[in-house]
Amino acid sequence: MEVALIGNPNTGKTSLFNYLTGSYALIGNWSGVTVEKKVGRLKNRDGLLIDLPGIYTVAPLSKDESVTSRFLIDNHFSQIVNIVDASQLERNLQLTIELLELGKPVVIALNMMDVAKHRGMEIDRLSLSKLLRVPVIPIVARSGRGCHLVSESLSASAADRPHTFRIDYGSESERAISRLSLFFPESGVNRRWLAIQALEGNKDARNRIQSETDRNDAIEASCDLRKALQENGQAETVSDWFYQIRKKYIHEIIRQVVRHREEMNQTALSTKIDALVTNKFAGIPLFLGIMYLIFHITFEWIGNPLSNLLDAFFSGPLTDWTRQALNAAGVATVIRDVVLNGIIAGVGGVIVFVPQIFVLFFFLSWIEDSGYMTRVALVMDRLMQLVGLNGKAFIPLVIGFGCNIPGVMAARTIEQPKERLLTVLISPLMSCSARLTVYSLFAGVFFARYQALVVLSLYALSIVLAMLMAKLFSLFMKKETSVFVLELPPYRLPNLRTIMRSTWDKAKGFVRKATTFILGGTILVWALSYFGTAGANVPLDHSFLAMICGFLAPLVAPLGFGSWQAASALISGFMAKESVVSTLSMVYHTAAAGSLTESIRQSFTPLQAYSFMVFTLLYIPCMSTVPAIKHEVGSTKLTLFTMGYCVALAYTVSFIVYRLGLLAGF
Amino acid sequence: MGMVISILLGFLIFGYAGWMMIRFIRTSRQGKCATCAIKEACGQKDCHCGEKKEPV
Repeated sequence: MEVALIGNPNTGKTSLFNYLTGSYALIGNWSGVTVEKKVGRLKNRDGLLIDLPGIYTVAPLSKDESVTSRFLIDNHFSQIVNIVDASQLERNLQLTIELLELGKPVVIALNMMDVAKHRGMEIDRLSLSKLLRVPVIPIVARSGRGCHLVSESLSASAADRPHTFRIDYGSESERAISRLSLFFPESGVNRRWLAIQALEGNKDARNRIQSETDRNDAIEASCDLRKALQENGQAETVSDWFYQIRKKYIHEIIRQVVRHREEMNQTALSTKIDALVTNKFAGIPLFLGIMYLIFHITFEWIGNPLSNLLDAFFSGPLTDWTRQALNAAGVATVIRDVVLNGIIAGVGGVIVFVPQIFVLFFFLSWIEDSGYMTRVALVMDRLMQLVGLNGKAFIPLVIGFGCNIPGVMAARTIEQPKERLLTVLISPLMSCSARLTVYSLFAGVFFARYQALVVLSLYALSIVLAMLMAKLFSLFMKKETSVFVLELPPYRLPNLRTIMRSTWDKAKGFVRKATTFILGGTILVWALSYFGTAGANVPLDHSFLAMICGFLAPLVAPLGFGSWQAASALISGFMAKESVVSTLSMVYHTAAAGSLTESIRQSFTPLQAYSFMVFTLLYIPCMSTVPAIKHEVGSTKLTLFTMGYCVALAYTVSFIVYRLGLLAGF
Repeated sequence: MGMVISILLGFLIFGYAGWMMIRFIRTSRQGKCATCAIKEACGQKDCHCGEKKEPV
């Protein structure tokens, strides 16, 4: 049994998916979070559930919507769960009608019943079920209420009971539909449905017509119908006409099933908040202020104090106990060294930043779930337009603040190819959470009183440079016009369970990464630092690592950190940005200095530290991001170009920052 | 005794590190699936996710 989960964007599909499969896919209170299909095994049932990107109509506008369109046409599923936002019934039922016309068994999960009730709407779900001739199950996906009934309603034998649903689109349209139906193969997807889709301009449906002559006939039929509708003054396009017919049908349904209690002005508070947060003068400063507050709490109030405690523990008691245990066991020097100076110093140096990661992600999840992040995209639209993008591009960039890979993938929500390409090209400049470990280290050591400001300056710098690079790249691309249409989700009090789960998963992921491939990389770097031409246990300056990185040190000297140690950290950062800190922990670790922070304090000046952070912010995307970029741009040349320009930009900006800083006397 | 423990620890540490590096390089090639939140519960046989590889 394969069940497709389909609905408008931001209606709770992924929440329902998580509940029904017992897994955890990323949720956010904004459209564009799911950009490709995800398949999970149904809990306690034998079957698969397929979560698809949200769509308003089947005919796709953007690349992620075409995933859903193609999926429906490919027909590898037996039934549909259509999740409908009860508080936006009229708009959601447009898609429901199209799904019913497909002829597959449908179950409607009527979500956000709590929001509808809050807005004074009473929905008679039994009447709705009777009118649409499908089961309608009220749920609240965020809390899981009613979701078990959706699972119970799914039946392996449902596919044997095809569902018939038909709307009369008028005599001329019906003639065109009948004519086009004949072009599609008899077996497979419902021919009438394909004909309707083809008339509405769905290219995926048209491509199902095998013969080119028939395809041309189909286009001609669509044009003829459009002309007829225009001449009769009925509609400008075929899809407009179909939309009107469906709307009339939906209005009749709503008249029978929805009752409004008192006229509740639920939108008053949302409107007041939006008047402030989307104000063209106050919007961006407000956003910057909120981010500053978040960084302040993350670094100065909670993150760094906890981090310092952890650092003191790792470099103090843990190291001492481990050394004593290894000495007592009589292990060889090399093993003692790899454990103390490799694993504890290296991996420990990364794990101490878990508090910052945890707190920052907690707050970012909070503002995502509240619905505020979409407003930020709206506010940023004015700035983005100056550089050839629109505000929708801001959402993938914000996702990139967590990890660049989903940020790169989220560019699929952008309809225009040029804007999509630009967004992918500038995504690696977004300061991902892995880079946070570097900022936490240096900002904590050199800018203790201004950590939040310093980190905010780096995030702001990444956005400004991303905009500048987008403007530069757009000069070499053909101009496109685009319309910025963004759905503002309702404000809601973030669900603490969802946020905690998201935050916990990210923190867990961070620790898992540190104890797996960062550990692997750390051991590799340790080995290079332990062995040299003179053999084993050589002084650090005579190790293979020093020899290799010594060639690169002069290259980065103009940037203020021309030591082989800094070069080695940057090279390891290509593997994963967290490795920058683990490598620094190892190469700067000396008995005299004690902790890493002391070692760093002795090896850098504040200006050099800031220059290093700027370089880390901008230079090469990590090894995991590169294949994601290649997949999205579809070209090795463009991928290499992305890697190259990031390094060049990092070098240039770092150089400017350092030299200007010297001139200013820092 | 110390030698035995050293050899055992050595195998564990370097073996684990080597295995993690190999797995990391393999996972990096997977791109999107490597970071997919439900990769462990995923019911797909491959990572094409139902769409052809189309560039932007």
